[in-house]
Amino acid sequence: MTTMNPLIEIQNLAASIRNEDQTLFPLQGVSFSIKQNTRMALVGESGSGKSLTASAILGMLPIGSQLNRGSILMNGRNLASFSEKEFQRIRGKEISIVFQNPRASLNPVRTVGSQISEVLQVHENISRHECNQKAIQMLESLGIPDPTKRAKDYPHQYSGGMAQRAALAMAMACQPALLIADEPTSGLDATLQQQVLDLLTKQVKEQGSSLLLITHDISVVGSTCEEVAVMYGGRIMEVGSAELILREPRHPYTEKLIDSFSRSKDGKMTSIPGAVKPPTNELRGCPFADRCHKSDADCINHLPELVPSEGRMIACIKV
Amino acid sequence: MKLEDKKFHTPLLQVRDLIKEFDIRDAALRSRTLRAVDGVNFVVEKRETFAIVGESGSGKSTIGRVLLGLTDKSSGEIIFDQEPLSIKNREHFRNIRKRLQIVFQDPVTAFDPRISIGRSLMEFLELRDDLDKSQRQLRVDELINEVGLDPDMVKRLPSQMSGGQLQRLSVARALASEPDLIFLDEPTSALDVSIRGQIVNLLMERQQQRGVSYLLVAHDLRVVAVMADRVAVMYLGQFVEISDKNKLFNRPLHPYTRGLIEAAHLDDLGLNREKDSVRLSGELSENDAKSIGCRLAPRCPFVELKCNEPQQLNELSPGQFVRCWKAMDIKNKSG
Repeated sequence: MTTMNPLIEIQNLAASIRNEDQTLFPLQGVSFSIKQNTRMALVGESGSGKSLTASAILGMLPIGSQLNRGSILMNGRNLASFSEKEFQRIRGKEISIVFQNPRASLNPVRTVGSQISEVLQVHENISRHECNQKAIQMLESLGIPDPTKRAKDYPHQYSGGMAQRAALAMAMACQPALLIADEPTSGLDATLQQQVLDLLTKQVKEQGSSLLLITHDISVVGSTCEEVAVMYGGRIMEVGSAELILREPRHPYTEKLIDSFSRSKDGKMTSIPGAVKPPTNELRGCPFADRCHKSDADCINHLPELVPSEGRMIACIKV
Repeated sequence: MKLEDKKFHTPLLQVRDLIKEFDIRDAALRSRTLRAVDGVNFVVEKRETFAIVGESGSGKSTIGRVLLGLTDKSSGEIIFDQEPLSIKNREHFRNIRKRLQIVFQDPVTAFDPRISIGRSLMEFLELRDDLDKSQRQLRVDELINEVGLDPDMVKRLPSQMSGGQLQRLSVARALASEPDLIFLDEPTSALDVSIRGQIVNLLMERQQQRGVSYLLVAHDLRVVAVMADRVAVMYLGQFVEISDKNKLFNRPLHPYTRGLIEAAHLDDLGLNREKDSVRLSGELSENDAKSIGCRLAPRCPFVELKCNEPQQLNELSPGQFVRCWKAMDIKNKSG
């Protein structure tokens, strides 16, 4: 592979959320980059900070949360210091998102075609008629039969799989450089999951976009993404080529995560002792230390940095 | 057709020709009948885990809900420990019901948020007449120990526990009345990946100790592959394949089973997708249930004209049943 400038470079990103009675630190120095024309997965359990990372890239942080440190670089601009107005110009055009529930991103009282057309009207300098035509083309390229007629339908007239296609048509209408897919397959049945992932892959490939697939399910990564970043407790644990990391995980957390998704060899299921703890303090050591089978006192008192090792980046002092 | 294995003479649970219909109204308020379970037969033996897998909308959870009397059946027979079970016979059903328990998918909504977990467990122990008050108190502590938690937790409210801890308590609560059969309704799908294994291993341990049977409904095939003894695959209200677990995972016969297992990427995390041989297209649609032929036909890559004829669940090899003429055909030709 040729060396490419990264599309997005996230450096040492840290965020906090203030609740009524306490402050949480869900992101504690996240660093990774998304290459151009590349499909990347960000994998982690709930509470790992994966969805918050995506929200930060889109400038859609939840109320009460703020970025404390770090940068999100895209074409020489730092998105971490963007105002809402600046974000509105790139959201939907340069970066867009599809969610787990496609119906949540479709307005139930407007036709599907008019919603796709609206994205184009906001961002592209073309006439309304052209926007409508392009909306129909988008539906067609996503495999919706009889798109001229279906564009006039309302979201409830679409089946679940079709609504997913329509939401994707809306997200891809302006040929964004980056598509974020936030748990697009959770809650879908196994046979439908692969169809959705294939569709995502096809769309970003055709348009030359990059994909950031946010998922808790590492078993969907191999068939979809070229790169993977594994996140735990607001830090990146291991990042690099998906094939390499899935076949030969080195970080103890990645190892355990992959084991929990693999077919059991001894009739038992792999489990990790303990549970994810809420990030009530800034980290002093490895966030996984208290659940890790390899950890010792050094791990608790030493925050490991991401360093290159065996063809990937790893944050673990025991490797 | 008899599905009972001849080795066992008195299965714990027998379900015969079970049908469950719901009257529903669509968006235009037209009422119609949805047949969620369409003639299902199976048995669950003592100490056995019988799993039902399938997509959402296949009717798998409805079977468990009918069994526990959470909703009445439309027709068919349920025989539990040699006695017919019906919620119409209320007194009899109440007695039997202690021996049937459930673990729900979401442990957070399965507990009353205002009463302590100790109190929640106590309510279930009060179903038992053989214990006095102090014995019950002792059993609460024992049960909490049994699921790997600290008895000091009895005074806590559900909101002070993690999802994994609450699911352990759901298991403790289900075990409290010493049931013969527990219906596990997606017991791990609301939990984090790293916690799932803890619950699965706990359930299997408890089964070995107590000899309880499980009726497991799950869409996570990894859980099924570890826990189940036998597996039924359900599609649009009907079983399309029933088989011993090892046969099912190593040599699935029905195209739907094959699609489901390949899509789960059990062995390679999806790295060798080219090898996938069965890719189902489209999605499950209620309309397909109206077809007199194979209900998978509109999505199946191997579909032929003969698939429009009614398909029976036939025994292909001992204990292995499949609802696909083609699977039978291949078997007959190869001898």
